[in-house]
Amino acid sequence: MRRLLPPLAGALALAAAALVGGCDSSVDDPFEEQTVVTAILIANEPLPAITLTKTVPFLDFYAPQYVAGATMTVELVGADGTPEARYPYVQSPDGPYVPAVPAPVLGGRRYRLEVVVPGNPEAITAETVIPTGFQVGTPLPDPVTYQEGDGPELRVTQSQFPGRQSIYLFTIKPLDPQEYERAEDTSTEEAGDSVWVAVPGTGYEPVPLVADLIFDRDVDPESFIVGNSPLINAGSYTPDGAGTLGIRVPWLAVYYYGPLEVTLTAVDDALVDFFQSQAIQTIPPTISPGEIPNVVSNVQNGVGVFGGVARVRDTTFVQPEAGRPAPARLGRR
Amino acid sequence: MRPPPAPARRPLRALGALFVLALLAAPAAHAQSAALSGIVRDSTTGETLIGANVVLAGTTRGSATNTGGFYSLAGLDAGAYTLTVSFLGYVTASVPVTLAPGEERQVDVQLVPAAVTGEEVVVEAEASIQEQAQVGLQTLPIRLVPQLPSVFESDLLRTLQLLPGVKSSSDFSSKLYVRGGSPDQTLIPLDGTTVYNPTHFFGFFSTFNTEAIKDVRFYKGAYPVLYGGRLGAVVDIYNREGNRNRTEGTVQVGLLASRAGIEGPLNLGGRTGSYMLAVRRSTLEPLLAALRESLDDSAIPDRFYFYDVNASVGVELSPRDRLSIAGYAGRDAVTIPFSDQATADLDYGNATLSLGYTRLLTPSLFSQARATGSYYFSYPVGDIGGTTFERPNTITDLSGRVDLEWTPTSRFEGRAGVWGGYFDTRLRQVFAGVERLRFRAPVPYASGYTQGVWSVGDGWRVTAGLRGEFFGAGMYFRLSPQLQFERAFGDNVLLQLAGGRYNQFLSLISNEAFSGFDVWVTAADGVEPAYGDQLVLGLKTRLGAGVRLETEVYGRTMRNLFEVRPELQDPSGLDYADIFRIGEGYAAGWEVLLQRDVGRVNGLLGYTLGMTRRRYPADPSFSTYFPPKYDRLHDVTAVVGYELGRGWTANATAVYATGQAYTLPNARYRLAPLEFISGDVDVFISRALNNERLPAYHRLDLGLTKVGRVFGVAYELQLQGINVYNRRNLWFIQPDFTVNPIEQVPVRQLPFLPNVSFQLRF
Repeated sequence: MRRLLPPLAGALALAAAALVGGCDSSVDDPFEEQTVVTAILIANEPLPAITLTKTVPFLDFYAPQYVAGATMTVELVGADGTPEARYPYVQSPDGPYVPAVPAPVLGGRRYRLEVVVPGNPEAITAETVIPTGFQVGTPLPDPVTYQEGDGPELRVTQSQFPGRQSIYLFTIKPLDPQEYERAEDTSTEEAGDSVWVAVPGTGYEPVPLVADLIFDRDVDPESFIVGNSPLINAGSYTPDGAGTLGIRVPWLAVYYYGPLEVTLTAVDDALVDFFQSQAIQTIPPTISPGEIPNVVSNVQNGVGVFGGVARVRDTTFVQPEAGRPAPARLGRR
Repeated sequence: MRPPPAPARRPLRALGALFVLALLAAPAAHAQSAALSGIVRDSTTGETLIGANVVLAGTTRGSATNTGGFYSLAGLDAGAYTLTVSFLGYVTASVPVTLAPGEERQVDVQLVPAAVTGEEVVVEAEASIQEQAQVGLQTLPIRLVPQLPSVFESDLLRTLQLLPGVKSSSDFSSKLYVRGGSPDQTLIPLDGTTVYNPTHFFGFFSTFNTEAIKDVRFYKGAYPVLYGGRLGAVVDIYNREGNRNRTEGTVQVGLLASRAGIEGPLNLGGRTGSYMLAVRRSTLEPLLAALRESLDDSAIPDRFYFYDVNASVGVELSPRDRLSIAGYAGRDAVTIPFSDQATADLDYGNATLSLGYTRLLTPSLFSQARATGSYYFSYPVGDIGGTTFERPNTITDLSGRVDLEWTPTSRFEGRAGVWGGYFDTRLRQVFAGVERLRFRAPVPYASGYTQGVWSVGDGWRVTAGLRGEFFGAGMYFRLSPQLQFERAFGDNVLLQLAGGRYNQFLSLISNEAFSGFDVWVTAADGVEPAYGDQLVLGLKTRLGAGVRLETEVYGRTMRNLFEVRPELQDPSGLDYADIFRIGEGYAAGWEVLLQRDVGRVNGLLGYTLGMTRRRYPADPSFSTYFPPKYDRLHDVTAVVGYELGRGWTANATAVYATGQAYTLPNARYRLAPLEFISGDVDVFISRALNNERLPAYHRLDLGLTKVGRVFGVAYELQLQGINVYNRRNLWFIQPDFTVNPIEQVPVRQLPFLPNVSFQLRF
């Protein structure tokens, strides 16, 4: 046995050293300020304003501070990688940068951003390819009755994106929602308790699901200004003979009766990567809670997103379900 | 997509050749040598005993019973022997045997439980340590499981979490993270049938009713070639067969669930046998209804229950043949009516069926044939604001296998087997009346293995095994070679070195906090199976009767880990291979276990020094090695039982562990408002994934058990306290980005919890 002890002890010591040396140490993690780019180029619409802000230490109060004095250019890139057009940007008095000369964004084309920030030796760069524009094929039925069927359907032609199927998200926005204010809660004896109450004469009522959340569960009405879907692949939908896709608006995303705007947005790779990785920072589906992966950004020497989209919009009017009293402003239509 | 591999003729040939070679290499039995074999049983119940020590007193010959309770000692000289059989918790039996030249004798032995005689358990005439201590194998007295303090219910997998090398993700999960592997790397068969989601209560408990379990063989690593299909570990669970001598029953009432069982002898046309039926059902509904009414909290389910049923029937067709049928069925169901406009239902469960036939072909050749079926389903449905969703998922696994154990001489043991089956998983996802996903993977699979164990003298033993596995999705054929060297120093010291390759064809999509949505996916064209190598160095010592000190150092790799991309929001329209990310990892550790199984003071003291790392090179967010959440440098566990006398027993479990890894971002930003996105888009930045550690985890559980008789009926009363000093261990830290500045919200684990249960045995 004695003969064995030295090699065994050596092996154990080696394992222990490797383990102790390689584990359980916190990483020294100093804050390093970075420039944040927010830019969404929309096919067939003018070049957008681009925002430059700064990151802040994780637990600091966040107040966006615009980066001033930057030199910014957006280029339309040709197939050979050379610029076909250059669009210099200037800072607006409000803070964001705007194109010095208005120009439309072309669907299916590549754009490049270059920003030089004072004090930063490396230029911030990013590229995106804009999905091709598309149109509404068959508009939403108008009006629609809340919770009648699985939801109203909007048929659209298909946007195209090189190398992959199109990926969409839709946004649903009530155009005339009720307004709210805090008022004393008379249902309890606790002084100072308050609840949300509707401001009389403003907008349309929320649907029962949202009314329950606002009035009974005290959820902030700000949460229901706009609703959006997760990213949805074109493969989720079966095209009809004309090649149009039927996008169904789920009732879950309808927050208010009354006029409703539905926007379907086709997104580029930068936004797909960004939104997918950002979503699992806060709502991890299959990774461990507390495990927060970094967001995938297409911005070099900075963070944020330089994205491209194409979109279509349509509106409809949501009527209350049969048997339910008409909402306060239903008569306005 | 990668092309499928070339036809697998060559590896099949290699496997066959190795099997033949193993047979040829077996030292030839001496023409006049005698053999002794038989089955070891519990004298009161007739249950076969797994792992009982069988030795010929005064010789170096010994063995341990296999999973059928069978032993074999071949290559014996003619003469008079004393066959000594011992097993923990039983009085040692000695049987004089005289063997004539060439005689093959079957000697079945019945052991009397020490509790029946009132004798203190003294383990005598233990088999050589080589028979007892296999690499990676952790034996656990199953009687310990119900005695330990437990959260509401005694639980097998939660008890295994106390062993060195095994970690849990939280107090809320019974899943096993063994030697740096994720839960899907551990194979969990029940009576030979794989259980795909062995959880109740969304992962809080395992499905295994401890009243129905006879034995568990837990291989933490370097598991033998008769198992396969997982990279890491095996928890091989055997249900009880039932009392062959008399009918008896139990009724137990607990805080979370109540259970009942009955078992007894069978006589079918003159053939004897036994049956066992054990039922467990949750009894939470009245409590939930009261809570729901008094708290007016709609998050409390108005329907929640789980149940499980274990049943088995065994019949002795002859002294050499046994036929058995064992089944399990369990289900969890919950309905949460969040409001009039939002409800969610979830049903999930497992069912297994196993038909087994064992036959002692000759005193040195034991055979076992088994047909198994395993079914898993989960069916979440919901309706929120008139939008319906459902995601039915099923797994069906049908298989058949034949295993042979051969002990032709005193110096060679051989095993061989074949296994084939059909695996079918289906997944559908429907949202707002639109089918968004339909996935089906019907896969034939097959495997074969052969293993030889050579005792080469001077305390040396060599084990070589080879397993070949075929997986129909992608037409993959993989080999798992294994090699092990052992050197015994006397009867009580054993040095072991083992290594091997392991393959895995399945991967689990799982949510740590909620097991009801678990989905298994398979390797396929373009998604190659995962594989990994393991190397284990072990030193096992017996310090005295029933006292063991064991240590193992292990290192392992994990490659080609195919996992569904966690960020993927919609797999529709993607090629199957495109929904996966491919990862790799490694783990290393040192485990020490001091265990005393007998005496008034018994229990175990375990320590683990361990680390594991993962990365997914093509995933920019996970491309560098990071410690997964369950990586912990130190784990210390102490489990102590103390018999106070007069039927009272005290138990204590203490756990200390390095805090789990989590990500502490060092910066944040917010995108300028985007009109097509609801709310603010907040982003966190960290230098590295899981770069920080939660505070250390520690906890003390205490229990008191009283056994006795009331009105002639045996009873057992348990009073337990979990986390008695109410340590508020952290589960994770969640940044609350709805406030400015961000708050780090600690999410805590279990507080102090009392537990009471009462059991009657009649």
